[in-house]
Amino acid sequence: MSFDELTLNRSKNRIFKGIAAAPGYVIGPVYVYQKEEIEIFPSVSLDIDYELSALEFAIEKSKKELRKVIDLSEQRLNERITGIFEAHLLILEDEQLLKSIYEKIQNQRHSAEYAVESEFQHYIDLMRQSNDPTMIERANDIEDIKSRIIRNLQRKRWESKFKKSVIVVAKNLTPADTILFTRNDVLAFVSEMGGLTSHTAILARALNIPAVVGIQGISKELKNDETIIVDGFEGLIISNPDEETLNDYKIRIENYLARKKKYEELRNIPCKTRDNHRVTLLANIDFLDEIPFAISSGAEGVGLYRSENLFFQKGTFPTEAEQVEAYIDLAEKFYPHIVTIRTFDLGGDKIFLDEDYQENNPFLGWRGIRLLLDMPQVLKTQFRSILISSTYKNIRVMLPMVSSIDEIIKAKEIFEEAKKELRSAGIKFDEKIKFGIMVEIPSIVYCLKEASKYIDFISVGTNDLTQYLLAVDRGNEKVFKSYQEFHPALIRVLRQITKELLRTKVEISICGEIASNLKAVPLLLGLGYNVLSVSEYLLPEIKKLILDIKLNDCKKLAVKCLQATNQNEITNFINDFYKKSKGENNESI
Amino acid sequence: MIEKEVTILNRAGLHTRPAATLVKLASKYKSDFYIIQDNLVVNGKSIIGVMTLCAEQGSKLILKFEGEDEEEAAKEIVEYFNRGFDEL
Repeated sequence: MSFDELTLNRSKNRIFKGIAAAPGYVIGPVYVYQKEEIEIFPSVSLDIDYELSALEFAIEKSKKELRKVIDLSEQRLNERITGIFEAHLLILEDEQLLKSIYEKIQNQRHSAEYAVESEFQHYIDLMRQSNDPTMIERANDIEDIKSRIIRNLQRKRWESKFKKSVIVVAKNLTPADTILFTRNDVLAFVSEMGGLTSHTAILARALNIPAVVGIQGISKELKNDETIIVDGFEGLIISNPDEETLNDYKIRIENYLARKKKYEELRNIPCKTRDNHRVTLLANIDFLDEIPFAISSGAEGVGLYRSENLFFQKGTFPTEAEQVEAYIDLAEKFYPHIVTIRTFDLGGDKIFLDEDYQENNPFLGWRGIRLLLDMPQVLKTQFRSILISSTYKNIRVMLPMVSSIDEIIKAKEIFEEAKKELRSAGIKFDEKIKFGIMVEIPSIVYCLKEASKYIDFISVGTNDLTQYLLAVDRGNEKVFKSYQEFHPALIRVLRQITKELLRTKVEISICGEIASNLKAVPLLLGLGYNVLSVSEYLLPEIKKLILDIKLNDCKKLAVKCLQATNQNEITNFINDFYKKSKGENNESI
Repeated sequence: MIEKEVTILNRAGLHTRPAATLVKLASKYKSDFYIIQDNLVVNGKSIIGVMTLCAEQGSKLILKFEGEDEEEAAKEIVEYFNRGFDEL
């Protein structure tokens, strides 16, 4: 059931759309986590001894709290994350810092609260002045420590323990909050602040707890103890759900859990159709912390790593060192499987350097490889980073939004320059590294035969391909209905792509949303696609389907769909096929 | 007094975790320890101070040690820098 259907049919449901930060479905009671905003004014104390002992108490209390966080982090998370909390504990033991706070109280008769506030703020301001986003991140961490001490000075508690299982809803959750909550049975996290890369999101994924973030005002909209549905796949919160919706989700949860268990067994079974045709399932990766999930889902590599997320995390282009760190992480963890790194795909709907920079037609504008070719230094640095990371020989590089062969040639020139630089610096890389392109602009489809001279592989991006083929902005509500992911033209273009590359050595894969659509998978196999790059959490289910079907039947399905004249016919064909293959009532999750 | 120039070798630079280790190492010694980056001087025994440094890979820092055990302190800390904070 789509989001639209839900809003139309059931007016009783209140639906909030946010960012799907960690997958999973949950139905449960709300616990609104509210932190008081602390405001400290300059004040003079008459009782210095009292202030000093209060400070000592608050620091000791804060240390104790942080030690708890460290213990929990050690138990539930990795060393990397724990190390950060350990550094936070050291701040509470920082003699220079403590000395200056004590001096403020003793010499200037400041209250302990104000002394802490002003001394910490000095460092926070220093960090915030920096242009480096990691420094700003650090400043937030310091701010959290400051608030912790002040709260303990005020002898207040942040309630983070509760008896029953709850969905924690908050304006903002710090990493420490997120970990402390795991002492309870937290069903899900919902927050107003944060995106996919926020600490809450990263920790929630690492902890395997569903999370939806980025819903403005949600902590005021929801009441304690009310029952809500959290859909961590779609990023939805449904408040006041009616019976039908509740039942829908109960079934989804049941299916999801049952299947999740089954998939563990599926993981090591080779992915083959019943008539013994091998299909390779790769994962699409946005963030590095998805790697363990992708691996446990049985992915045989990464078909698409969206490197622009490094840009979004940092707010600017990552340095060569930062890129190499990320790419090597991928290469090592997936080794010996292949990792496909797509160069930065910026522009279009993806916010760029300057928020004021606007185009009338961003989707037809400065984006993808066009943008990169205008910034050859950025592209070269990325190529260098990819090459430096390629020593395991399992990395390949892919260009986004290619519309002409010229673009491939120009990019390859820069690629060769990068190689030359590394060679003369004596830096080793994979001399046979594979070079490919995304096929997502219709024009390149009809040049693929000639392009095959320059490339080793392609990956078909169906979302943009559909949008450009149909001239429909998929983000525009008014024309959304015209965005038909099974438009006959799309199916024919998908066929055309495989035809163009028939007698070439170019490897073909497909990474758009269509490949993660269970019902579309048989059609894609029938059209000749046998490498699918999909969302990691859907991968096991796709594998299960493939094990149940025959390639021969898929080919027949493809022939029928290629003859169809409208989307309805095609969706009927694929729905019928899917139902038959699954036998009984097995709705997709 | 001992003064040494060091270069940040690891990819991630002087981030939170190495900063913590650095402070722990320095605290073992009685000598004063200062880190100088451009015009900024921070107390190397103060984690919050070290955290305000923005030392990326390739940055050069000057380390200053002064006190009775300055030689031992300098030796261990310079080595830690030269090992790229054990992240190479």
